[in-house]
Amino acid sequence: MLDSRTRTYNVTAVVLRSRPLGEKDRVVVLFSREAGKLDAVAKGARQPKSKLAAGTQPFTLARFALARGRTLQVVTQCVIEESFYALHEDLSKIAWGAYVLELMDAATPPHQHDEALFDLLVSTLRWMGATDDPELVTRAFELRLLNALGYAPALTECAVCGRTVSDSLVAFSARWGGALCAADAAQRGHRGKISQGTLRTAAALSGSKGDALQRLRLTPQVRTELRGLMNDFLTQRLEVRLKAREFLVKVME
Amino acid sequence: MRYARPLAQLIEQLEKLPGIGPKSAQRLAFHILRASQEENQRLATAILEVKAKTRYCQRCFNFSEEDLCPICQDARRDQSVICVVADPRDLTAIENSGEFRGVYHVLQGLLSPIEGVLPDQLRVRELIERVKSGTVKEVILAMNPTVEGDATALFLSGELKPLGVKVTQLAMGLPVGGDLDYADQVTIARAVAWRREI
Ligand SMILES: [Zn+2]
Ligand SMILES: [Zn+2]
Repeated sequence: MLDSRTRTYNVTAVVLRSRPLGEKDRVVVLFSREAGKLDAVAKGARQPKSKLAAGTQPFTLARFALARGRTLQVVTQCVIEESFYALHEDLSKIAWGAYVLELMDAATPPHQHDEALFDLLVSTLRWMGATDDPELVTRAFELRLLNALGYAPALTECAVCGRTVSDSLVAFSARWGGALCAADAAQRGHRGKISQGTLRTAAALSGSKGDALQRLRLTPQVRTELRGLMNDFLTQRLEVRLKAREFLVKVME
Repeated sequence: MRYARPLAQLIEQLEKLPGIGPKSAQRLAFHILRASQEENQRLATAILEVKAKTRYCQRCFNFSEEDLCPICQDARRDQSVICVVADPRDLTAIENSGEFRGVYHVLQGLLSPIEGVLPDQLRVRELIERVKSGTVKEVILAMNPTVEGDATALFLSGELKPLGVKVTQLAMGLPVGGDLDYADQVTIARAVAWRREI
């Protein structure tokens, strides 16, 4: 239990994961505005009348009171600020939203304060709730997350020689870190081609704020190319296999 | 203190049970030690038989001693209404309410995009086969109001509706004894959306 030096503190956080612990409790992984990613035990949260039950569901944005225990932190109170109700009503939003949460968890180290990442997560979940294209929202999230982590792919210049003439960019290589010009693609034996539209769309998604992109529509070609490009790049940079991706491939496609 | 070896062994095994702490394990062990040999024989036999003689009902995947569970065998139950639940404990909860006279289908879990639980790990195919067999008029989805429960209900309704069966979901509202003040937005939004005339 808690020792005598217990201190409590409050954070505003999104629940990234929530796992059952024993018969009555849950372990939650939170991404907080104040202290980055952290995990905590929510005692009794699996009992339907618990005031922690709804607050410890994935996606929930809430104010949490945490107590530092000897080994684990404990959630002592929570007040929900936003449940993201729209995400609970649509299977594709649940699936893409779960992917966003899992990627956030996989890509960020614990206890690293980063308010910009917290804001990115919250604005992504809000946009996801309102959109009819959750995949587009996810692509924007991936690119902005990579930007924030310092892994941004080259999209408007050649990753090797830095040429910025956009119609000279013909390929995308996760290994070389982004777009390649025709000469560098040929020299490195890179065979796959990518369209100008896909590179321009990726650049737009990684830069501007969500509002400017509300009316953006992806053509089937751009959607497919972006999917492959992001998958290659994330696999190369973050070396993670996401379970939510498997769900998307096997259940949603 | 040190216990005699057989007693220590029993305490050690009992402590592995959910919700049993060292104190409870000790109390149970002393109780068993004082009980008659016949009583203990019955307990031991019951523990061994539960695993050996329990299997899944071939129709609904509830626990059963025979090929079909007592509910599926019961001629008074309405076989045209299937209530889908995640596990046998949820079935028991609904059964104990005494309100439902149809039959069940136990999925043996919930879909989870976050934990990577896919439809082929659950009894989804078997449910679809049951509905396709033609005698089913209504499927009631009775999943917990969690992200996994919502994902499962949405997925099943997408699979079942094209088969021409009526698909309904248990009304979700405020817990008895709960406070409107403390309810979350999802609960309240659903309670409002699924309100009824009184
Ligand atoms: Zn180049
Ligand atoms: Zn049965």
